Amino acid sequence: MPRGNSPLPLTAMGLSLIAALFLYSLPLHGGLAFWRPPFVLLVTIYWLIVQPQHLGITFVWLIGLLLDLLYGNVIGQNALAMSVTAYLLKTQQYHVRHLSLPFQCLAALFIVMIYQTLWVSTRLISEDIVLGWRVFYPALSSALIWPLLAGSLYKLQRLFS
Amino acid sequence: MLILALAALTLIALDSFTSWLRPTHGWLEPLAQPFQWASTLPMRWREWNDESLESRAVIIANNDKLEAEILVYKAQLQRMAELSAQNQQLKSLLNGAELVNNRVLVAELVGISPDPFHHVITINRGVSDNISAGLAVIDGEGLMGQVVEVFDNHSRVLLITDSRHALPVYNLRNNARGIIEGSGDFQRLRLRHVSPTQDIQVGDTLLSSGLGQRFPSGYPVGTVSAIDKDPGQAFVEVSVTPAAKVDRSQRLLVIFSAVAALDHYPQSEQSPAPQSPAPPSSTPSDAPGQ
Repeated sequence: MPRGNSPLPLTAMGLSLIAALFLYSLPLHGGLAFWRPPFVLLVTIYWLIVQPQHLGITFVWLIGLLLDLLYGNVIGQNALAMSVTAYLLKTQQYHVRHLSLPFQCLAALFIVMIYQTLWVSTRLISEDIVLGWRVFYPALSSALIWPLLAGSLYKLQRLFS
Repeated sequence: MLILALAALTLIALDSFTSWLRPTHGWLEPLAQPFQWASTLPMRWREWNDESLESRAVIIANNDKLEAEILVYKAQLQRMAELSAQNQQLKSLLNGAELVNNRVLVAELVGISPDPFHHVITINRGVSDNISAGLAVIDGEGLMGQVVEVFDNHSRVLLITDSRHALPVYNLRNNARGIIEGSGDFQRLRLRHVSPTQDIQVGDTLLSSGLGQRFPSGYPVGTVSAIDKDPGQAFVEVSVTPAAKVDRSQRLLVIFSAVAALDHYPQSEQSPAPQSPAPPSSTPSDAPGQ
């Protein structure tokens, strides 16, 4: 991952977030929908780790709130789950930044597991969700897709800086 | 961090247990539109494929087939008119309520919720088409769901397969009543609280009973696909396959006047049936491309 001493790459961030929302909206058939990685979370934490001097937990919280408002969830669910996940990651950011790619994937697996746990538990307050291993499917798919995602985000950042 | 977490928790609590934050749900709706639209792209692409890559001969053959079908339906409809008149007469003899003639409005699917735990779709009709929360939505095969949130030009529909949804039904074969619940799976509904002694068979058709005063009665909801009798359980596990193509239908019908008519149900014997606001007439042909 690049060192973040440059100004905030707003264009790249905006484009990547729009792309993430787009990927999040694409319909997946039936059971496949349970495998969709939380693209918005992954893109957000990428920027959080890459631009630690500009972005903080508030940024993640706001993106989470935006996501809740956009999709008509109970407001605050994603804001809470995403910001707590980002906070836990932020405490380890100096380790995370120097991980090799396979370990980054492993980190993504754990991060998304934490996120899914938080997100599902906040939803259990008001909804009746059928729990099962499928809650953690996105963690697996995130780990698999992370090299591709991180690679393209890195390219994007280079392109606009 | 703590402040943010607390703020989020407060928002969750407020939005879950009060309706104070309801208006905010509409604020960012226009922003979500492009993404909603994007979510239907594969469907649109497939439809475009079907429409424009078909050969002339196939289209002509299709057209002939459709015309023949329309003719058959029209013939059946003529019988229907007579039957419904007869039915009405018989009902009036029995001092029953008048049969409600439901008005429908064609709507098109414009978005699908990306959340795998929510079976919510967005349709392209809203306040400007007199849509209100609570109206039933059907497709060509059966009941699909109900309108839960209405915006200016579109609205959200909660599907019957959503695990938060339940509706009263009755068995066409023996009129046994029951409550059907979504399972979170597009192909399966659950019939709740069926006692082991109740007469129910695989293949039974279940229709909406209209008892909840939310759905109009008589629309097909599903057919019983499996009955699992476990002697240790107090109730039988009954699986139902939804009649509507819940995850595939693109053109839907919103049924008007069912709720309005049911609201006036006690008076309907003295006064003539209340007139619901007339929805703007719409044809399927103006639906695509909007």
